[in-house]
Amino acid sequence: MSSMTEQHQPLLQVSGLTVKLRGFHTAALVVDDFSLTLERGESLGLAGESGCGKTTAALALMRLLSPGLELTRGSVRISGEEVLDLDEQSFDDVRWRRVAYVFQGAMNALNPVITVGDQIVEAIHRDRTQDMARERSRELLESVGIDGHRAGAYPHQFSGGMRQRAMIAMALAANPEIIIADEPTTALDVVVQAEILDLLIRLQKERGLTTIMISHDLAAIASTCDKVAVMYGGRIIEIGAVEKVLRQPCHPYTRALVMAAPQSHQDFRKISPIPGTPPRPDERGSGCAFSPRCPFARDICRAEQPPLRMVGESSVACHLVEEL
Amino acid sequence: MSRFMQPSLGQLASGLLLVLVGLAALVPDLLVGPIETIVTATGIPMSPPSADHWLGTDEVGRDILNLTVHSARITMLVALLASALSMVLGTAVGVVAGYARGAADMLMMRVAVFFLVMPAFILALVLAPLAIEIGGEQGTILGFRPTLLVTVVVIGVTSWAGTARIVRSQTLSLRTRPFVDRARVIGASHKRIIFLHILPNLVSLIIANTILTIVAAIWIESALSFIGLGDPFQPSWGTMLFNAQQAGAAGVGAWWYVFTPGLTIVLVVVSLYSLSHSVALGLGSQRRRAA
Amino acid sequence: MTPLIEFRDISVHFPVPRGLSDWLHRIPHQEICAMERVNITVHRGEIHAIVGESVSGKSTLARVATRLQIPTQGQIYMNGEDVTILRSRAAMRDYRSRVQMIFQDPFSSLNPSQTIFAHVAEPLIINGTSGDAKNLSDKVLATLALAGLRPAEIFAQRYPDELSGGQRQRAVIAGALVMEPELVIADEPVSMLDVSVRAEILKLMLELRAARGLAYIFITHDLHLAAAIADRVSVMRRGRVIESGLPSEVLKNPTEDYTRQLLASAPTLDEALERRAARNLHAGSLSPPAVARNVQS
Repeated sequence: MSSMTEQHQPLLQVSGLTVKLRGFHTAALVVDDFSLTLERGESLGLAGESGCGKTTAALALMRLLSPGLELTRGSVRISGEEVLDLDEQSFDDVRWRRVAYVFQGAMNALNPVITVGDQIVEAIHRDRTQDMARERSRELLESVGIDGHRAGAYPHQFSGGMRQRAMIAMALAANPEIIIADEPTTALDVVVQAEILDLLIRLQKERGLTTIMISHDLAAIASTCDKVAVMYGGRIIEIGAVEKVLRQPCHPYTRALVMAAPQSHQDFRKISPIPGTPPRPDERGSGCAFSPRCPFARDICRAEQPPLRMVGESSVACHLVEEL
Repeated sequence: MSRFMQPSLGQLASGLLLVLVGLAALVPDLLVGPIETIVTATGIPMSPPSADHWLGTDEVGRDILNLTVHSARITMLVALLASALSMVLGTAVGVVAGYARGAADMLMMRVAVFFLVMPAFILALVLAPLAIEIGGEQGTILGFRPTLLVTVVVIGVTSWAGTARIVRSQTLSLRTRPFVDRARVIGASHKRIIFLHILPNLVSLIIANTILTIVAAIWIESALSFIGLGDPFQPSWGTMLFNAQQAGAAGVGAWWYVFTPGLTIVLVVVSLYSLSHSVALGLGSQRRRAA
Repeated sequence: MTPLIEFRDISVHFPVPRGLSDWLHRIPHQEICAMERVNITVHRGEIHAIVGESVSGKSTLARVATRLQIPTQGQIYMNGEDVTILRSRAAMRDYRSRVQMIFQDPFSSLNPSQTIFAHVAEPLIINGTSGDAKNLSDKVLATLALAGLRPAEIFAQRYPDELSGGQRQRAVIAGALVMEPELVIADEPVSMLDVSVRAEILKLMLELRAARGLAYIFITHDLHLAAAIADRVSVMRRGRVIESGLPSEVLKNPTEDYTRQLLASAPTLDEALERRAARNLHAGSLSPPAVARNVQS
């Protein structure tokens, strides 16, 4: 599996990443104090429902935030080097060469009028001749399970699964150390989803890749990742090893998510669904973001935001974690 | 989130200008008094802007500001009539073609392409003398001055096709949406689907497009008047430019005579573009929420 | 007992449009077979799940059932009567009052320019069963409340973009319920909803079945969900029903390789965790190696 080689610095160290909506007077935080650490070769799943901030946090890491969002504070260190304060040109070397991103719905983001092979060539950065780049493009396609001869095909000639593989090939083009995959299996057929997850696992092993996989599908995360971080209302509310967090969830929200994950023998009449909906960035109050919907909420939950602290083998952000 | 967006300075300025134009078209007498004619002109001919005449005078001594404000009415009238014609015709054809598809669609679009490439100007040049002959120099056709009618008809006839194509395109997209399927499942008639489900969702698009048609209409009307095909008895900005040229304003350095109507046209056009852009943005965010 | 609805040997073929060069080269007419001799039976109050991937024909089945698509071959029987061809408007109206549909995407199933009230009232208005204005309003509000949108008066005045995904889906359900149908075709009713919201919608659907004896044809790509909610499961692939039976049977002893593949590809959370533990010991892989998949597909 993953080799947990001890570096003197972890490969990726994110601390206190905070993103807010531009132009709002009150603090409308889309991402609040996002921190994590990844060693080389580790894989982390970023779980949560729509609107929890997981995609925004990942984009912030890549400095790809849309103009309406603003990074107010935070630090991102790759092998000890701070990258957030680099100028655009220097960061260009980091983006895609050290950290690559496979966008959500990426399969539909391929340019329809350029062949797949040429699009991968585009992603292969300079200092190669055109022929070398083409050759490498074919190699990359092979490494993700597509016949190299199909490099001359156009995106519409590929199936959804193949397009997703092509996107992954593009992400690998510059030999990054870290790959961030945003919902890599959404909108794909079930059998193809399994193939893509398999591919990601294989690539992790073969290349010692460090991966962050963003997904709302807990089973997919359970299959491919070592660690999992669950987000709600822009914050990480639980983080730890996959076996620990998904088998014995501590936070009430994580428990609800685990309960709601597809099981064959669910009796829907017995499940009490969580009332209400996740808060929008400008709606969050001072206490725990989940408190309005939490069945165990007490006064302290509504008043103070619980900090993320180590409880046993995982970290949980809940005031009542010892009692539950 | 659009609830929180503030209008930009440019948008505010454009809005203000359009309000002024609207006032000028509706109640010019309130703003500058009755229209000055050769008889009632009070100024010294071709005099530059001064305290009495803020924008100077023309070749017979009429106040330019007065003329500019009163011209708004005719220009906007032509533009609005022509755009209304174009919008109604274009929307009707576009919706029917997009909804029905098949042979009807093909036929209508072939016809539309024919009108799409028709040059408005040449058509006006051909029709204007014809209309004048039918109605007589001073007379009217159907209550309209001949050249006015020609302008409205020409603009309407040559710009409906563009609207039709855009409307058809959006209709094609709408008719495959699940809510249209649902309407069919509950037994809605085609008429009901078109009027209750398709058209209401086209409104923003049609408005944005019609504003652009109004812009085109203003351009064409001004151009036609400038070359003398307008109505010399009804002032419009294009007619003012025509008169300025006839009077040799540029030659004698009467920049205020040329500058004022010209700049007015440009400012109004830019304001309308800005309005259309805002409507289109509003359309975009609504669609993102709904779609 | 006479089943509520029966689809017998339904086939739906679409001709592929031919161009001039096809004609010149004498290329024979081609057809796309969206459905091929499909047999589905649903009894009163039964939930029959149709499981399939994207080109399986499951959505075409939904369209045939709601009469958006006319089958090329086959018959449809309702309560023992042949309703394959409906000749009169009255017959059409009668069918519609018994069979309604819930769509997949709550975002585009509602007309963005219509209030929720108008959406739910529309079937009544079209079919002339609205009575006077007060009658109509009562019925609409009652249906909204039944679908869990309370207070109904407030939700009735809202537009779709003011509602959350779960609320919109409830509005869609209300829109289907207002005609008091006997059968509801639910095409992926929860797949676009957040996981925490799915349970409440499913719960609502089950409650309605219990209260009104509603039958469902529940279309989904998720075999586990189908097994959890349905009385009967049919698996479709490329337009054909390849397997059909009780959920427990189909899940435990699938007869078809494809079904096994579906099960293996979409593990439950527990299964995924177990496989992971096994993989750490044996360095195996996730997707089944037994059925060789051609990557070109």
